Amino acid sequence: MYFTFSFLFSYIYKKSNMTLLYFDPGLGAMIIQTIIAAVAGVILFSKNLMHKIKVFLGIGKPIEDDVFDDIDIKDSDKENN
Amino acid sequence: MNAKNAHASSFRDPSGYIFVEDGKINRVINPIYFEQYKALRDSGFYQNLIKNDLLIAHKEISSSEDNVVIQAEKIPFITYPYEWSFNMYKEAALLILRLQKYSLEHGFSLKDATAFNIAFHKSKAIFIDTLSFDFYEEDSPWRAYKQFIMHFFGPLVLAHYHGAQQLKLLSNFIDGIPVKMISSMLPLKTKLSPLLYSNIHLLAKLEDKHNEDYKGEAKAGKLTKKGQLNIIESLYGYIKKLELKEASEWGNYYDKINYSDEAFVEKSRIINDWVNTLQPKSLIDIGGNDGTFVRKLEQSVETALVCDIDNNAIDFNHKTMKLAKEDYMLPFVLDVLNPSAAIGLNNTERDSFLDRVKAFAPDITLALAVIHHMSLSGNVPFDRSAEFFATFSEHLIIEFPKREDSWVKRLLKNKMDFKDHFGFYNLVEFKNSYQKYFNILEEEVVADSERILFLMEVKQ
Repeated sequence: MYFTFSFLFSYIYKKSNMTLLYFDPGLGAMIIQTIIAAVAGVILFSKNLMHKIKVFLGIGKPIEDDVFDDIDIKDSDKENN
Repeated sequence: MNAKNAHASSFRDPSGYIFVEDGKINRVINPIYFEQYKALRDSGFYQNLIKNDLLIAHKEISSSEDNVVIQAEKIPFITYPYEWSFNMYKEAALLILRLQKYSLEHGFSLKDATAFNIAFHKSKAIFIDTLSFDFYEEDSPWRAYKQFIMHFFGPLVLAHYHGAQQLKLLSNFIDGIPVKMISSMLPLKTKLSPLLYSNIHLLAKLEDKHNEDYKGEAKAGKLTKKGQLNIIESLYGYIKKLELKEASEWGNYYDKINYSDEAFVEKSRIINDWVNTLQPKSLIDIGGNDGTFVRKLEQSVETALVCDIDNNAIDFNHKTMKLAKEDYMLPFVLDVLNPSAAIGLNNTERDSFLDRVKAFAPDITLALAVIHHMSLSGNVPFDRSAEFFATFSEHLIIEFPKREDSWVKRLLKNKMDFKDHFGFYNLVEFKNSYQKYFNILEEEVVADSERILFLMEVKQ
């Protein structure tokens, strides 16, 4: 699967390279985000799918003792209002 | 931009600048940022982040047509990214991603993502640049994305593959590690990872290819908010699971050394007796490993800096501190033989370790089980280490392991033919050198060991 990914990226990159010949290096990072977002979408989708399958089969890993918070920040103001 | 008294590190962002007055941290906000500031203030955005201890607290102290001045809570001691352990670095990176997600959900976006916008305060990573938030423009990509890769993602991935020393690279690359360099340093197999390939290798390829194209004919692409959230969430998930592969230099240090249980208890008792008499508000433990001896103190202190050369010891301390919800301890990585230098524009943008610790002026310095490493591994003469310890604290508690100590024997053995050059390593020479800078107030042998503890006071 990874080989397919690498091939796909190189292909998209070469295609985009033709149309976007000149741009500021900073712009490069801005443009590439569309591709990265698509990849991220696939990664998140497959991760969620795997998680659901594991939960279904009852082989999900137990939650480890973690010192890092969840990505979501509690919106305490809204809750209080 | 030509602000009077602006802090030496505060010149990049036209939105405002910091100035320090009477020890207070003030931030001037320029009219260019009024609209954003008012929206962030009035919507409760700032307040919620402050309540969650994610943004440094501030209060508005004046407001006019020309500027708004806010005063920020002061952080006793600022550490820089190249002094963070792997997990501290991770925490900082995750904080940026959390803030960006929260910003997007509330119509804002982080306009920069430099690692220097984060400090550690009360045991947590906290964002200190109040003016880094801008309005989110619909379907626009994240402006600070590349900076995030250069300041956070790149260094963390490099550390994962090559060890925690990689995190020190930022001291040479104050604007972030070049993406091309990150890409070249990563193993080939990382090109098979969709996430690493897209976020690092492909980015590096594009940057490199178009590095000299300055016609600027291209426009920034569009990216939906959902797309941007996908990037943020995927990076968050990856970083959260990232771990180091290396074993600790000092891991299980206390199990390996020649302390008997009795000596360990005795050492702790002596230190406690002295610290209780001095009643310090702050202290620094140099070579403090995982903070074991600071935790054994009966006297509570407001701030305890615990530094060590070993990343894993600091990581362990960081985890212990978080799980125990201790908010007075600040661990960080420090090589006492090469403390962080002053860097950046005019060498004043980021202060040296020595300047920061002198300004902090801890009441006591603890140097336990460190002098033999400085003298025998680092070849530092006693005069020079005494000079170092005499620069920032009034009192020094230092442990001297004698030549009969097994660890000293091991270090001397490692010197092989050069062993005879370390004849100076003895108690008489140690005391003679340290008495040039200090008055020795107390001296006590640690029972059941070959070690002696000293309490010293700097000569005025």
